[in-house]
Amino acid sequence: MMSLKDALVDAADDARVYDVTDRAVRVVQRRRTLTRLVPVAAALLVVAGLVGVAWPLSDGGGQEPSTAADGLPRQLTLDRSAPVLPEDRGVGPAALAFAYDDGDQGRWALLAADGRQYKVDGLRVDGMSPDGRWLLVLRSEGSWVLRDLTGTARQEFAGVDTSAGASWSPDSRRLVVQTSSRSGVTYTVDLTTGARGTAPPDLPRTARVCAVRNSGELLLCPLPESSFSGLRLADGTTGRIVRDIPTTDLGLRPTETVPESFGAPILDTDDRTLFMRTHDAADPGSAVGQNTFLVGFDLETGRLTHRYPLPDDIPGAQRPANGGFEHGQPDARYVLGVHPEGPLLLHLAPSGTDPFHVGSVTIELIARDTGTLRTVTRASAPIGLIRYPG
Amino acid sequence: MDDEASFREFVSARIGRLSRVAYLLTGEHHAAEDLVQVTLIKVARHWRRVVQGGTPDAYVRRALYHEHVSSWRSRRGREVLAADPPERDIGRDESADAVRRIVLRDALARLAPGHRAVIVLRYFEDLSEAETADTLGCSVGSVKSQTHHALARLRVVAPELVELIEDSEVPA
Repeated sequence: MMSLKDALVDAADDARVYDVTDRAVRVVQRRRTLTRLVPVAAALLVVAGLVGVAWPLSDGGGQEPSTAADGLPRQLTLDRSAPVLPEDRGVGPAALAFAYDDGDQGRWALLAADGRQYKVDGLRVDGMSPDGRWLLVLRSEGSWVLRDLTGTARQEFAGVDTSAGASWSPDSRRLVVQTSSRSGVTYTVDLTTGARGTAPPDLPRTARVCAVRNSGELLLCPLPESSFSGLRLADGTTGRIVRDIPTTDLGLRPTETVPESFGAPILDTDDRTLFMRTHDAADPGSAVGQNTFLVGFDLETGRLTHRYPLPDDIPGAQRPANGGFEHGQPDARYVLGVHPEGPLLLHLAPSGTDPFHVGSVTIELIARDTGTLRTVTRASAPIGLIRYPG
Repeated sequence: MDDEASFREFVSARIGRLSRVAYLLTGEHHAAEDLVQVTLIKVARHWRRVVQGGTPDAYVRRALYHEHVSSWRSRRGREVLAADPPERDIGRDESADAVRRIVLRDALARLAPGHRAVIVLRYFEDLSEAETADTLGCSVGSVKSQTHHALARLRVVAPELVELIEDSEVPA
C-alpha cells in the first residue's frame, strides 16, 4: 500500500530541475563588487537619494576626537540653514565637503576654511584641490564643473562617466581629468593660468592616470578590473614611460597585494611619497579587509618608507535571516587623503544599537612617526560621507 | 579548488533534491525556482564559512526551509487569497496516481508553510524529530505538535488521503 512518503515522492516527480547556480553566482559576484566599491557606491546612493534606505545613520557611538588636527573641525555638524554656494563670488578655500541625507534625497555641502557651510548645487562633489581652492562637482547632465572657490573662474568637462577620475598635484597647480578610464579624453589643466590641454598622445591606453606630481609627471595605474602589476611614471609632456616599477620592486612582502578595491594610490604633500593600501594574504583564511596596511613608497629612492598596520575591516554582527546569515555594517576604513600631520582615514563604524546601520562617521589621522591612529573629527547624523581636499 | 568551483560542485550534486523539495514546499514551478535561487544566493555569499562549518548540507537545508517560511510571511496577503485553491478539474481518464498527485499537491498548498515544511521534512526527507527541529530552529516538542496538526489538517482538506495518512509510519 502506498504511504504518505510514496505519495510525496510521486508528487515531487513533477518538479523540474531548477538549476539557477549561474544566476546565484552572478548575483553574489555583483554584490561583492558593490561592497568593494562602498565609498563610490555610498556617494552614488547619496546622489540617488537612497541614503535613508541603503545607508542609514543612527545613534552615533564611536570614538570621540581626542585632539584636533589643523584645519579640521573636531565636530562636523550640518548647518541646515546654510546658503547655496554662490556662483557670483568666492567664498574662500574649502576645508572639506560632505554628503548628507536630506530626507527624500542626498545632498552635498561644503565646509569652508572659515567655518561657514554652503549647500552645493550638483549631484556630487568629486574632488577639491589640496589647497582647497578648486572644487570639482559632477552635474546631473554628466559633466564636471571645476570652479575657483576664491573667485568665479570655472571650466566644464563634458562626457564624464562612472569610471572617470581626477588627480591634483600636491602643490595644487595641476589637475588631470580623465572623463573615462577607457575611452574618454584625458585633460591636463594648469590651474595657475587655467590653460587646458590634452594628455600626451603616447600615453599607454592600458593604464589610467592616478596621480600627477608637481613637475607634471604622471603616475599610471592599471585600468579598473585589472590586477595591480606595479607603478609606471610617464613624462607629462610626451607620455613616454620614464620609470617602470614592477610590484616585486616595491618592497612589499611576497604575500602582499594591492587589491583594486582599495582605491588608487595617493601622493603625499611632499610630492614623493606614494601611499597605497595593501593586503597581506599570508593567512589564507583572512578576508581582504583583514591584515591590511597603508604603505608609503618613495618615488625618488624606490624604497618602501612607511608601513602602518590598519585595524581589521571586521564584518559587523551577524543575525540569522531566512536561514542564512547576514553581515552587518562592517567596521570599515577608507583612505581619505593626506593631512600635513599624516594620512587620513574615513572610518564608518556600525551602530552600537543596530549593527546593520552605520553608527558613526569619523576622520582618523595616522601619526607619521608612530603610526598611532587617533580620531580627529566626528560627524553627526545625517552626515554620511566626507571628502577631503587632495 | 576555489570557492566558486567548490560551490558549483556541491550544488551540482544536490540540485535535483533541492528542486524536488522546493517544488513540494511551493507547489508550483516559478515559486520553486525562486526559492532555490534565493537559497543558493544566501549560501554562496558565505560559502567559505559554510564549508568551514563542516555541515553544508544541513546549512543549505536550513536556509531553504527558513526562506520558504519567511518568503511566505512576506507575501502573506497574496497567499491568503490563494489558500483555497480552485476546484480540482480532474479529467475522467486521468489515472489514480495522477489524481492522488494533484490531490496531495492541492492539500499541501492548503497547509500553512510551517506545516508543509514539517510534512516534507519528516515524510519526504525522512528526518527524525530532532533533525527536523534543528532544521526549523524549534524544539522537538514543537515538531511533534506541528506534525500532529499538519496531519490533522491534511485529513480535513484531503479526505481522499486519509487512508494513506493513517497508514504512514512516523519515524521517531
